[in-house]
Amino acid sequence: MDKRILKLLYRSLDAPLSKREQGRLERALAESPVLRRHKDELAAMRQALADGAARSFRAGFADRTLNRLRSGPAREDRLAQLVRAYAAAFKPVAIAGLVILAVLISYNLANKDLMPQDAIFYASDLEVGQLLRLPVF
Amino acid sequence: MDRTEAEIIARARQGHEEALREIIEKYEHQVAATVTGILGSGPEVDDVGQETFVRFFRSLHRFRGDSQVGTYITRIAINLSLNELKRRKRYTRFQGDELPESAADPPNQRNPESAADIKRIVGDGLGQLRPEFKTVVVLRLIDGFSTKETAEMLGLAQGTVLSRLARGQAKLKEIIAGMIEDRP
Repeated sequence: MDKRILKLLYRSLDAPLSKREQGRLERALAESPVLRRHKDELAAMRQALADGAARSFRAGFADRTLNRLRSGPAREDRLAQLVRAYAAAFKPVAIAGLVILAVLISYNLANKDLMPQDAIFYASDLEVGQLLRLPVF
Repeated sequence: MDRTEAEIIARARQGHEEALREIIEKYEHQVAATVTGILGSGPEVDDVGQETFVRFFRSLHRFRGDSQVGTYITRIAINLSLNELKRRKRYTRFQGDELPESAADPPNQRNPESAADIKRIVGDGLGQLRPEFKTVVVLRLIDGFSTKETAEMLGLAQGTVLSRLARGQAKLKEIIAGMIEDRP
C-alpha cells in the first residue's frame, strides 16, 4: 500500500482534507480493495474502542470518593496559610535580631566597667504609658 | 463553564457535600473511560478514579474556570493514570516478570466472532500501546475530545496529536491482528 495514501486515510478520519487530497483518497479507495478493507477494519476498530470502554466505576463510587476526601488531610484555611507566610518572611529578621542581642549582651558582659551587670539584663518596670511619655532626645 | 456549573463549583469550594457529589456523578463516566482506557481493568482503576476527584477538589481554590471542568479533571486523570503505569512498570521490573493476566480472560481462548470479545481484544491491544500513543487514542477515540482539546490537554501541537493518533492506530491494528492470529 502507498504510504502517502495510507497517511491520508488516517488523517481523513480526524481532520478535514483539502479537495485535492480528498479526490486522491477517493480514487485510491475506488481502485484498491486492500485499502477499502483497511479503511473498514480501521472504522471497526475505532467503533470497538468507543463502545468497549468501561464508562463507570463500581457502584458507590461517589460515596467512596467522598469518604476518602473526608479522611484525607484537610486543606489549610487561609488564616493558617497567612500565618505560615508571615512566619517564613520574618524568620530572617528574628534570627538577625537574636544575633544582635546576643552580641550586645556579650559585649556588655565583657565590659562590665562600662555598665553594671544588673543593667545589662535590666527590664524596666515602667508601664507602657510612662514609656511613651519619656523624652526621646 | 456555564452558570449552573459555576454555581456548583462555587458551592463545592465552600465544601458543600451535595455539590461535590454532583461533580463526581457528572464526570465519573468520563474519568472512568479515561482511566480504564489507559490502565485497562484492575483494582487500581477505582483508586485512581477516586484520587482524581480528591485532587480536583483539593485544587478547587486554584481552578479559575479558564478551562472546562471536564477537561481539567481529565488532565488530572491522565497524569495519575500515567503515574500508575510508571509504578506498574517499576513493579514489573522489580518482580522480574509480567503482571499476571486475568485468569478469566486467557488470550488464546478468545472467540473474536463475538462482539464482546472483539471489544475485549481491542481493549487488551490498547493496553500494549506505548503511553504516548495510548493517551492520544484514549482522549480522542474513547473520550471523544477533539484534536484541538487533546492537544491542549497534553500540551502538544495538533499536528503531533494527529501523527501520534495515526501511528497509535496503525500499531494497535498490528497488535490486534497478531492477537487474532495467535489464537488456536
